[in-house]
Amino acid sequence: MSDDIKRLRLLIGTYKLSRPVSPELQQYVIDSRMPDLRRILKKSGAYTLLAWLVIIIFSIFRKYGLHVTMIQSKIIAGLTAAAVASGSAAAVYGGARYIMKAAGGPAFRVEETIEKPEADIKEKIETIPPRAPAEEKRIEKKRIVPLYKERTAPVGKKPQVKDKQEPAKKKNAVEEDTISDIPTL
Amino acid sequence: MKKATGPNDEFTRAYMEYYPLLLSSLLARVSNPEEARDLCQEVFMIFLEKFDSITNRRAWLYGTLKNVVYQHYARKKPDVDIDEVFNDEGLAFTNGARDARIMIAEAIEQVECSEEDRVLLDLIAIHDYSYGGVAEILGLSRRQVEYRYGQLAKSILDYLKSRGIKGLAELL
Repeated sequence: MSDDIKRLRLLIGTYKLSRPVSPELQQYVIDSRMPDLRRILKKSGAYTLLAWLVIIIFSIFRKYGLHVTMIQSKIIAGLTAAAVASGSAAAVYGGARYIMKAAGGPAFRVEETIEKPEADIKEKIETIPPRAPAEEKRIEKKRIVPLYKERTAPVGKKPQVKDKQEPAKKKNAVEEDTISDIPTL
Repeated sequence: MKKATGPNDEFTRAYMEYYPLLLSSLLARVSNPEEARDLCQEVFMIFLEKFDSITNRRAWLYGTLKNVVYQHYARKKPDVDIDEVFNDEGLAFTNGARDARIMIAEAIEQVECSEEDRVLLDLIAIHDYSYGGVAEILGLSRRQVEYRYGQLAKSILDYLKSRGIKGLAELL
């Protein structure tokens, strides 16, 4: 404490110019400042949520020793409001997108519960009759599509008879079966 | 009643500075803190109504405070001598001491400083607020408050010297 401060304090104390307030009351005064401002603004009709936000920012900065003006508080309030608005909009968009994705997917299906799966399978295996080997061969034959079937024999002709012992006859028969491309007069 | 459409920035700033000063003055004159708060609100309601027409805010606020306290005592405690409420202990001093007192009070009043510094001086010198408390009220650091108060104290003592008081021993 400087000498000037000490001397001034001494003067004020000697001439009883002071009206000291106890430390408890000092804190009471500081604490009641904001609620009373709110009441005054409400009574006068000047109270709005945005105005109160600006005042709160103004007082918070002052509380921590940062000297800001009301205009600076308004700018900070505006930036804060913009940040909150954009953040909440992004959250709503993300939430809506998630819900749409969840609702648009395939419906949930409940699988059948099989009490005794192993026993059931065994029973089914037992009930299926074993296939005969001949039948299996026949099925395989059916699947083969012969190419010569496309060429049908002319009407009125005798069906070809396989005769491995007479190749000459077979050759003649083939010649007879062929259709000439030369138009007949 | 004035219907403000938006926040009155100047009013809010003035309120934040003068409220602790006025409530401290009221606490010295009204024993009940809740009553003091109500009276302080009353003063600031009138202040808001007439805000645009007020030039010297500090003087106006102290004048209105005096009127409001007078009315309060007239309503609630008519048997109380209102003049005694505002009478300072200094009035009991002998004439010589009284003159010195007036001179010191004048020195405090006449010192050239900003509105904010005036509030700072009143809170520390008159109401014995701590530097930390004043820093919180005015939005300054504790060191800034201490420095400013030191400068103001120096200015007051310089003023007294300019009025012919060479040493404080003459006053003490």
